[in-house]
Amino acid sequence: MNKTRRTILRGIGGAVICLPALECFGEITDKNAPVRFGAMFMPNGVNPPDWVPQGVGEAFELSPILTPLQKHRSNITVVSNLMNETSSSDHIKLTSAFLCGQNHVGQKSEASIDHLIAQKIGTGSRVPHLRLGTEPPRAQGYLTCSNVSWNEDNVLLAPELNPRVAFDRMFRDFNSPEARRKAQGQRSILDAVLHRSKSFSRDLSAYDKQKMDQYFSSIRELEEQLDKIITPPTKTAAGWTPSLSANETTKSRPPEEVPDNAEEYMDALIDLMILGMWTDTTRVATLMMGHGLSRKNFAFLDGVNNDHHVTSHHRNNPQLLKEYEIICRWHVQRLQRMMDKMALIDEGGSSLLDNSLMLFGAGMSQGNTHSGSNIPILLAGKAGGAMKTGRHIQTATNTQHSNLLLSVLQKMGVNRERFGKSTGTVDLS
Amino acid sequence: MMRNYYHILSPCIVILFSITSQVSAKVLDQPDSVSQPYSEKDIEILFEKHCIRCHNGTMQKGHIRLDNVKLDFARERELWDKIKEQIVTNEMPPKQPFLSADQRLKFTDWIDAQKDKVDWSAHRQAGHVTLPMLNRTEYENTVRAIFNDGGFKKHLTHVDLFKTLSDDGVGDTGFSSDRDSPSLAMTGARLEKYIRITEDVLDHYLYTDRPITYQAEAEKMKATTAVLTPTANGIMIKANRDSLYTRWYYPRSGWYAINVKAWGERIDNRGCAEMVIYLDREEVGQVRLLATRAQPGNYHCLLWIAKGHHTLRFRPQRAGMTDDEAQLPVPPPFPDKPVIADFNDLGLGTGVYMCMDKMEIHGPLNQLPEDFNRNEQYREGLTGPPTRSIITQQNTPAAERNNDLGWEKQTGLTINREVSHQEISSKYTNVWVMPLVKTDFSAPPPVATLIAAEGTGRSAARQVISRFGKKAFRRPVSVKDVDFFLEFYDAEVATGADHRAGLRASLFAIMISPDFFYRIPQSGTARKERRLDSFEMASRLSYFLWNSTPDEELFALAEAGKLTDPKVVDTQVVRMLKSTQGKRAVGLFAREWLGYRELGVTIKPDDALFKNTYYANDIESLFKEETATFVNYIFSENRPLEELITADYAFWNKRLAQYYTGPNAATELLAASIHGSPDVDIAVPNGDYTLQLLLYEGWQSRSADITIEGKTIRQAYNIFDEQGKNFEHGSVLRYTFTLTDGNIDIEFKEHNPNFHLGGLILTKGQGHAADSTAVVKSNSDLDFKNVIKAINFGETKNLSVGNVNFTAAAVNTTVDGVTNKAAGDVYAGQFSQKLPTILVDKSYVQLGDDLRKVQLSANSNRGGLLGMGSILTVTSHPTRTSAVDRGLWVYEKLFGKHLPDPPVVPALEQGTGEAGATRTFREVLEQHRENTQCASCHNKIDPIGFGLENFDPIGRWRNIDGGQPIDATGVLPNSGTFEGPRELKHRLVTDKADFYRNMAQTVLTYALGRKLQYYDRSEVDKIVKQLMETNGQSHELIKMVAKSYPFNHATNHKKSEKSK
Repeated sequence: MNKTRRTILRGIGGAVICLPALECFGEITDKNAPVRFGAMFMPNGVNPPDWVPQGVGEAFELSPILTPLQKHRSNITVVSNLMNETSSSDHIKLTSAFLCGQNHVGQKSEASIDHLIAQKIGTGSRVPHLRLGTEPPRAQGYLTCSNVSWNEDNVLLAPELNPRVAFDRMFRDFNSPEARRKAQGQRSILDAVLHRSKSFSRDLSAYDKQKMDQYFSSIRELEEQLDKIITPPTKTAAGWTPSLSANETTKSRPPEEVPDNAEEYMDALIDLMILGMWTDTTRVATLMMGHGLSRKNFAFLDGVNNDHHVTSHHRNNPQLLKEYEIICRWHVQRLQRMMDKMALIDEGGSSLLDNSLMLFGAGMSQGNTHSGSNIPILLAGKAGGAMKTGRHIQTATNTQHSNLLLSVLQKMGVNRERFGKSTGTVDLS
Repeated sequence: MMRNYYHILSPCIVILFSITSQVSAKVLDQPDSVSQPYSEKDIEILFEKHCIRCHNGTMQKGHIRLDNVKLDFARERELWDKIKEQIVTNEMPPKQPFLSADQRLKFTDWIDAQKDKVDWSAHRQAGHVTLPMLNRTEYENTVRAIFNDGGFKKHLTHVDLFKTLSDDGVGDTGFSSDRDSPSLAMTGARLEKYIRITEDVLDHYLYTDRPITYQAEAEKMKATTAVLTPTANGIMIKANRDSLYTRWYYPRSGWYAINVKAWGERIDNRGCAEMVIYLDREEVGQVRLLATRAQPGNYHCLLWIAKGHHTLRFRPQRAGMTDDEAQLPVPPPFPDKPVIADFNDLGLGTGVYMCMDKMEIHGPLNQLPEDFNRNEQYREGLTGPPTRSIITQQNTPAAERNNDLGWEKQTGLTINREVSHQEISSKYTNVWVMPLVKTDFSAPPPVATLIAAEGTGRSAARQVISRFGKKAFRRPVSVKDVDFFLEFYDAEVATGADHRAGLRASLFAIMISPDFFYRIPQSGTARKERRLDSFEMASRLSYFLWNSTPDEELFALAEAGKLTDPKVVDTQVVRMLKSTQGKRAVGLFAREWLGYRELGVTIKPDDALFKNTYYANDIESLFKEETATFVNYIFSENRPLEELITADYAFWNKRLAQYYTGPNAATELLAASIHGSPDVDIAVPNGDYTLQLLLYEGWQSRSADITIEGKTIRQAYNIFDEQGKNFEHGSVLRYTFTLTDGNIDIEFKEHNPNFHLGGLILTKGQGHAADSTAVVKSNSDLDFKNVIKAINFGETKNLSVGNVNFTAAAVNTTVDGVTNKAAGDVYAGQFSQKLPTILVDKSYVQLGDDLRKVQLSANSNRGGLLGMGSILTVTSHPTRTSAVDRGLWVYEKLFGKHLPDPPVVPALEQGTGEAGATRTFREVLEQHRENTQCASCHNKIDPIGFGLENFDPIGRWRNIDGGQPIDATGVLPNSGTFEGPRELKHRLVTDKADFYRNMAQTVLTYALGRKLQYYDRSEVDKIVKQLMETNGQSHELIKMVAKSYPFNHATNHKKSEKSK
């Protein structure tokens, strides 16, 4: 990875990105800020004419929905013409395939890319994979579209909805001797319990064994976490450290109640993502901005009188189309605010935004018809220099979305040749 | 290419079909007016025309061959299920000629009818339930049961240790008991949460018998000033300047009792000292310090404090005193001298002071004062830890002068016998004064107490582990396992920890073991299927009916092997349904089955449109409580299941009664008024008349002289007084007279500005020149006979009450010969003024705050699930009703039927109808019928929805929608016409078999935690038969489910497969 990365750094449009203490001709040391990955899922699709930018390549015009990103134009890559498996689908399939390339309805599918990336780059973090969301799971069949993260055993990885709970999980005190002592005590108990538990799966059916295996892997996962508390990994003197330490986050502890105001709520979750990345508590974060079939009431926005799902089924009614556009743009504004903040965080010469790769989009394109063709996808951030940004990539019509997912995986260092329904990759360099 | 399709009817057929055979009379299916249900011949024709071209011996598209399909609906069930599915989803045939919607329905009906004829009992199996992991509710309930915390959420000492757990949603079956739900999977994140909760739980419950007590002498407390003025009796702190505080660590969340010995000192005579209490930065209460140095007070307060470090601060400030209070014995004030002589030495300036001697805090408390519940302020605590609440009390000095607090430890609080119940004025208007008394909530003793009673040491630990383990693992713990868990105790104690810390380690291990999280099936020796063992039976029953672990009685029965006796199961079922836990569980079942779980979560009425009605009233939680209470009643009192739909009773409290029965019309009549001195002229022929003037005041006292036809019939009519001196009701002034000048003249001469006239009713009457007034509590207080004119002033709305339609008259208009020349109008609810309440039935006035069973009147349209706000709101769109959604809800939820997905639909034409008039909603939807593609399905559901259109999107009754009266008539295929909800409900249950079948399937699915399969069919049939024979009694349903084959048996797990 080293050589390629160095070469890419040179190649970026003239701008020199000076990573801290990085000798431009030397090997990459761990003095570099790590690359972070974020995924943000927007429900109910978009009206493509309002999303797809005019022009291809670097000379592209921001579309009405994307106008908030004017300041960050050089930091984004809009990718169009991707097809989320099939051209005509439904909320459940499209949502479950958003990060997996292939849907989970009645079948086992891939793990989602955020999970795979977390396994690659997140295992050293306190929270290997931060998952946040704003809406609880809905009834019956729609449970499957309550989030986009899946593991390789086809288990739905639920998002945390309460900001305070998420905060506590990231930042509660781990470093005191008491915390270490407690961790040690728990570690030995977990170990013994695990040992006793093995005999239970002997007589279970194959399918039930899988369920029991979930328990075993969870115990092991926790043991690893406890190990990290018991013997915190030592940092080398010259190693990179985050510009904000976890101890300094106590002031940011969210209140117990979830904010009523949808904008405040969403921003609070986004702030947690930023805080997690800034302090290097987590390197992979996923945000479900809404349930895959979100009916969030957006009447709090000027000019909107309906809920999200209703506007997405606009049936070409001009009023609903307008409201649909406002709602989609609001989501992009949340991204803009996030990018604004991340751009200001200095990690030693480069910003947190420079050092991140974020995937923002929806599993569905035209909400009215549940279309899977030309889904709205944009990538933000420079991934530590590995991405060439500031352009609109238009792939061949109905290119599998899996191709993009595969490319992102590869950019984040996950060595795969195929993913989901991929037929190739998308050149992001 | 003609094929000899008659091969289909080869002699392999098991069942003969005849035209007159009984297809079970399905209330909601529509026999097409043109033809009968399909016969075999019809089916053959369909196969030939649409299927066999591609699915025959030579060409087997998709590996399916249909030219030789056998009419054996048991053996060939998978194929027939597949055929049915392809037809229902319209996937087949994929090209012309297609099946019409009508054909599709009849085809699938025919398949269903054939399936009905199979003897399914030969196929009976236990089926396989995926390894059951405890869902969120079950986890919480089980943990509480283990620790004897029977209080649950209604108990005010409830500490919500489980709030960090996420909502798991429901599985495909629609229930959280669905063991195949994708979210019911163990992940690292989830286990981490469980561990954290386990730590908190053990910290809390193991030590509830050890409340902490912190004491501080005032001089030892920290102060926000460097200058503390100690006196012989306590520390003087100047008001509005300084404070005393402590910062302590509170190891457990809960209610803490604080006692402060303090009094007030005045060095001038202006006002008194008031003690304000802060918890961290938040002000939590204040009380005026009317006690004096001669008689110091003990101020008690109850405060909710969360676990952690907190600062408790006491700050005096100035407060006013009433004249009476100023007379309370204090040393006489001298304006120019300090009040108390010895203060001269202290050099204190004038001002008010708090003088504090000491403070003690004790808790968390297990029990709270009896009167606690009555205080409205604490009610919000019922669903979780309340926000701050405080009670303050001043003991009569005589009783408390030497009070040394004397807290009783674990079981209660000090009884203060001589307390006077005095409301102390404070900022919180709902502050009560009450003695702190011993209370008994009839709960089992806290676990910590039991543990303490057993002593310490290894053998005591062994006992605790056995007892806990049994409840946690739902079966007795083997000696080997007890030894295993005892090792953790040993290890902990070896490091020097005490007995309880050792126990904590063992219990921790138990609570993270897989046999706690999962109900692991036993192995058994049977080859194919086995009966569940006693403990598995007990578990199944307790998780089905309580969502929790078995109790002692169930364990005892299991140990004695009695749970195989059907009579014992019957008794237990009834006991469990009637218990508190059972009611809670049935409430949860109802929420999930009926779908109103979504209310307020993902389905919400529009904020703006319903701000003053739905949201202002906080009616949503009441709706949910109403439905849960109703369903609970049906299941605990063994009512016939059909009462779910047709009940002639309901569970209302006053607020709900008003919401439902108070026709908005009459309330609106009074609430919307002209504002100012209206001058009314009514042009009518001469004759005898009676005028009823409707008046309402929602804000303050207003009066005016009322002059009719030149005669001042009332002087200084005070609306507030006349309506009963409260804002609950309006008043009506009735005046009978003879008109001679062709114009009725009404004038109001105001004594205070802005008199309110809400409406008037003019009827033919005797000429007595009599007047009377009355309070308007219900419609019957007004006279609606022989109405000539009815005008609603103020708000431009056309209202109707009973048969009388009121015409709206805005300010300065002439309407129907009625001219009013008022300045403005007002709507009472709009400016936070109270709205009047009008009840149709006076008996509801007696209701209080709690839900009570109310007998509805004979022609009531409420009653049953279809009259309940929860259902009606959750089946509506945010701004309007949806007849389709409501019809579909009834069809699916109550009758268990499913309609195929609609084809891609163009929008219905809205807007104008034939005559150019705006279409009513119903007329728009009637377009469904015009298109045959749509009609076949919509004819089944739309009529039901139309029948419920009188209920608006938030469950209120309405007669008019969009300016047009509501047409609630309809036709249900096979059961006839109806008008309005009451008749609709009775039509729906004319054929009970369908309804019972759905109830049986629903409850069996819920109980098993998996989807039902073909092999469950005979068990469902048995339940239906029993219900038909017992008039559908709810207990029979539950008993039959609990004794059913799949509930009592398990497939040999090695061979089983996941149910589809």
